[in-house]
Amino acid sequence: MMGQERVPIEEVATISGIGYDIERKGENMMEYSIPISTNIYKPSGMQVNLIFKEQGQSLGEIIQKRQEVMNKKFVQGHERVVLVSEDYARYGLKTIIEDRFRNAEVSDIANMAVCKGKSEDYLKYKVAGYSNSSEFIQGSIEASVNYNFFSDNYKLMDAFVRIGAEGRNLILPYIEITEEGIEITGMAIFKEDKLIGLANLKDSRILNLLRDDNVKGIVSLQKSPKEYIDFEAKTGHRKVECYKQGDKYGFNIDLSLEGAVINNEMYVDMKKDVNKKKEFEKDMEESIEKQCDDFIKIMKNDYKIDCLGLGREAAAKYGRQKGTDWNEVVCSADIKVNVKVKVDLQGRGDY
Amino acid sequence: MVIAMENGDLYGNIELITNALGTQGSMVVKHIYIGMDQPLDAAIIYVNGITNKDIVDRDILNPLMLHTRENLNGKENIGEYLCKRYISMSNTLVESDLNAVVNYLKRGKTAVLINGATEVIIVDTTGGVQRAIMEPMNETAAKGPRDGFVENLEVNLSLIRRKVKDNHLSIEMFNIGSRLQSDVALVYINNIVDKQVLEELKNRIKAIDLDSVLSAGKLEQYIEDYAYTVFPQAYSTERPDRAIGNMLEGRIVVLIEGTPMVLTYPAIFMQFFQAVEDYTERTVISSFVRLLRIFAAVLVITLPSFYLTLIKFNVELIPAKFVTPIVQSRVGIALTPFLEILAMEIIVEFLREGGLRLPTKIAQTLSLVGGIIIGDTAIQSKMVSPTTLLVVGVTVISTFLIPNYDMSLAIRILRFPMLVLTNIMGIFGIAIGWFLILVHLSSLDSLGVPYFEFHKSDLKDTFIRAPLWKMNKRPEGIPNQDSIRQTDSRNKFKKKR
Amino acid sequence: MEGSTNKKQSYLTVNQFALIIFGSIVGVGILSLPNGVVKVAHQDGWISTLVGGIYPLYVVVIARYISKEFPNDSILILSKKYFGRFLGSIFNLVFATYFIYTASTIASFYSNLMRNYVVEFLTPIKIIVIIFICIMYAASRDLKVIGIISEISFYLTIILLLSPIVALRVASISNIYPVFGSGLSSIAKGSVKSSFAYAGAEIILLIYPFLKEKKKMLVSSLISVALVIVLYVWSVFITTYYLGPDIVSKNFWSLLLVMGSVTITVVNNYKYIFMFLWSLIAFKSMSINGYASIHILKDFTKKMDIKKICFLIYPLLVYLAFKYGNEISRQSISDIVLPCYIIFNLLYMTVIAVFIFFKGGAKA
Repeated sequence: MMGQERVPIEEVATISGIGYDIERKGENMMEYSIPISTNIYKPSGMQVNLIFKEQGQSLGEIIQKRQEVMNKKFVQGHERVVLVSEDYARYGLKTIIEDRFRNAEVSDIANMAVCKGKSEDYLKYKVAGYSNSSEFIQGSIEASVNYNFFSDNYKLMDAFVRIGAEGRNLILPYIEITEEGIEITGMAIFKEDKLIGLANLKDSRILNLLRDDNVKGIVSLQKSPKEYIDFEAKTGHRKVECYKQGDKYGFNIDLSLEGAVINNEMYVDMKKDVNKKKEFEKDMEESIEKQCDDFIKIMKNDYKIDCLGLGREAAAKYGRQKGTDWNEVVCSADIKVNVKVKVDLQGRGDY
Repeated sequence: MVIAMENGDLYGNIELITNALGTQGSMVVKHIYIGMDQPLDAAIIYVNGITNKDIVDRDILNPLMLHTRENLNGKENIGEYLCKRYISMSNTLVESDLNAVVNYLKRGKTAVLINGATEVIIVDTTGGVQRAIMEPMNETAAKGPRDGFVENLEVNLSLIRRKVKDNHLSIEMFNIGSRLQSDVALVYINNIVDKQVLEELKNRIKAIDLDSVLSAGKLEQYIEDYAYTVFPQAYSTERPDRAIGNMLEGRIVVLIEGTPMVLTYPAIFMQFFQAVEDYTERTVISSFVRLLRIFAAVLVITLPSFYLTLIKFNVELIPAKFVTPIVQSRVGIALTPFLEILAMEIIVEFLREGGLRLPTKIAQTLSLVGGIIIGDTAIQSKMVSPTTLLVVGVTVISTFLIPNYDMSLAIRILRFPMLVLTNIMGIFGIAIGWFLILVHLSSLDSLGVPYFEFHKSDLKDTFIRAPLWKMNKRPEGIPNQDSIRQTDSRNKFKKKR
Repeated sequence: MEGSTNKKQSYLTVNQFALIIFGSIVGVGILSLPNGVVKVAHQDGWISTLVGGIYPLYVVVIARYISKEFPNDSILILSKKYFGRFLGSIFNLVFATYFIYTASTIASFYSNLMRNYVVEFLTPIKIIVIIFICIMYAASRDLKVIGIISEISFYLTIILLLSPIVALRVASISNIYPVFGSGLSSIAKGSVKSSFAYAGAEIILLIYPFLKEKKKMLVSSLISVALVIVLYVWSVFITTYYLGPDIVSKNFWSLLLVMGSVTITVVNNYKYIFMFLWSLIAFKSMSINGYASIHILKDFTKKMDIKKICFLIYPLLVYLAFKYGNEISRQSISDIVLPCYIIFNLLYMTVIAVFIFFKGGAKA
């Protein structure tokens, strides 16, 4: 019944990023690998980053093996990012969530992401100007809320809350190593705890737009290379109305976008002419609605799950714990999107 | 031992008095003749150094020696007659008990003995050189009065009397200490003070039976309930306006001959965090400063321990941005965190204690230079880390915010046990430590008045300082008889919008 | 506890009286209250909590009735009066064991909680031993001390429990809907579970003789219980709201998970500050229960001095708290033992009230 020993801070290695990899080694054998990126501090002020990777049959075994190679006790709580390799995500996140949830030291606000290939490569990747790649990855996920309609709900806490909940599904950013470095290239869509689909950036934007409240991004209309208009918008609170006709469900999603025009080469005199503004607003609404409908079709046919969180709204209205499979319900339901666009600011002037 | 005047034998009486006063050596006896025709033998006696010789010469000797042109031989009640007729000093009385005469002599009064009379004339000639009234060094206020108590009891009482013209002002004198026989005065306002508390205090003072009570500090320790606590149970001040303010809230002021510090009973905890300037400055500013003070007091006890917890036990609690600087500053440090903090705290205490004994100029230089040099060299020799030094420094500065010296000593001491508890048990230790402090405070009382109780109506004056015109009632923490002290008079002149 | 005319006989102000009651009910249980209730009543857990508040209200009302007839005699004296000396003392003793049980259970809960989150390096025995030394120190003091500590921890409780208000803007109301969707039977079952968290109001039966202003007794105790109910409902509500009814039962101490939503810029983890401050509240609860048990025992054995009683109880408390083991076993023990005690308490109070009613109050 000995308590777990604590050591003072200078004998501790803090983890800045943790990854989960998996490899199928045989019929019934899965090998887990958990690379961690740690910070080692030198008295002269230098910071060195080391990667430790261990493999084993179970997570506990890995922890033990890892400590054999490290000369400092590692302490959780400062990790910035949790990377899950695509293979592991397809296999199922349950073990990771279990591992993270049980341990009280873990930082609930670490960002989570799915990576193409092995997470080890991402942790090892040297990003210029940063002492370790986890910082960079976390920074880019956090900065993504500014454009592309990404929300800030990609933390570990959000994963806890969404995986087990009725009528909700998890989505996470998907990162790849491209020529320019580590980039977010889309979203990973989960059914329960297993990865079932990847959306590219274009679809991700619409997915996020439909799914979350208060997200920001840029939408544009373009008729020709010279005629286009860009609109930086922020969505308000998403309103979902759920109705039932017999056994079939229906959802009306009301979105409202409000924002500033940042580039206008299409509607001349929009500043002075109110009608032009209304025309633009209407065009934009139609365009977004069409994009949404396209995506919903993809959702129903390709992914076959409810990634918009509509099931939760239905459960709220029609009752929970009834055993209904909300994914099925939503995919066979009528979903209609209504968008309202309002132009708030128009910038400094029209050139 | 009552020495009664057997007869009017002058020389016999003088001898009796000389013996009673002891071989003091500074007793002065002057023989004079009073009256014409058959002059009376008389003598005046006083103790040199504590009398105002001008009064003796001008008001006693002059009229008695030069202006008594009648034959006073055989006159009845000669003492009283002389007082009324010739001694042109305002404060005289006639006394026949030699013990009392000796007491008066010791306090600077002059005795006039007449051959053949069994009574003695006592003239109040107190004087002598003493310290001038100046502002106390430790308690200053920008907009308040600048006088402070001095060592002489009469002067102190006069300072109070000058400011308090209430009919119900009561002054009770006691005499304590069998050798020193110091005078102790209890001053209070009769129809505000709580009688039970007063009785308790009087009983305790009367019960003291020892050689000497040289100072207020000692007296305080003899009459307090709890000897082993660090917290003071009487509020001491050198300023008359503070003493009077306390008196008006129902407290009793104890003045002791020979000490400029007066004690006020009963005392409650929050009182020690109220400074003079609070009441002379503006509301919002004072409230802010009060909150700062309380925060500083909490910080002194908790900050070093909390820092210890963070670096020793719960590394994951350190905010992400601080981890790098803290760890970098700690790599390669020789001492363990606990010893490091303890060592720095003790060195700071050394500096402070040492600075107390030295002359002011040297003390200032010592603290400054000592602090800088020791701090710097400690860092360079890798004994301590800069972050630790910062934490300890902030703690030290926070102790300066506590206005009352006794209380600041108490709070300073408390941080050491807290540090030890934390070292053993982590953050749980801090929780235990605070709990014990709170329980201990709650179980203290000062003369029966609970030390650490909060009353809703008193909150106007504890954590913040509400405008003075809102404090209509006396604080409930001190029991009193008459709770209204002012009425809302602002509505008489405030404009109605 | 008899009205011995000691000059230093402490009286409680109205505030302290009400807040001792508050402090006796609100202990550490609130951190895991949502778990039990939501598991049974799902998203209507907060309604169950509201309904469960009937139990402390009932206790207050009965106590008021009893105290009206006998304003200066606590229930110990009354039980001996109406049940006879022997039986009455036995009942008092059982009453004392209730407080001992509660104190040890809180200690066990607290030690598990702290060890899981902040102080893993301490073994449970160390924590329990040290806690009870401090509790004995506090509980052996005057009732006034208990009153002052309750007052202070009340303000602390309010601040801490209102801090997850920031979670309101993050989560969504649909987690609570549909209201009454779980059906009345599960709400009722949930109420029964929540009433365990309300246990503690019985302290009022011991302390009402010490209240200075007897007229204010009913009002102040009702307000205090009402505050408890409001806070409990709020806690269950915000936990369900933030986590959704499915996740709540996954964590042992669900309210703590909600605290994770409170993000202050510099602080990494608000949870730890919360737990550190909550320790004071836990200590306060244990002290109140400790005080109650010591004083009942003192009444039982008139000759023993309080210090001796403390020394006797101390090993018992430590042993019990240690034996409860980890959170799961403690909970299962509690599920069996606590209902028995609650039924006993209810009967104890009600029967005495009935006796008073029939045999006529103070005139008998």
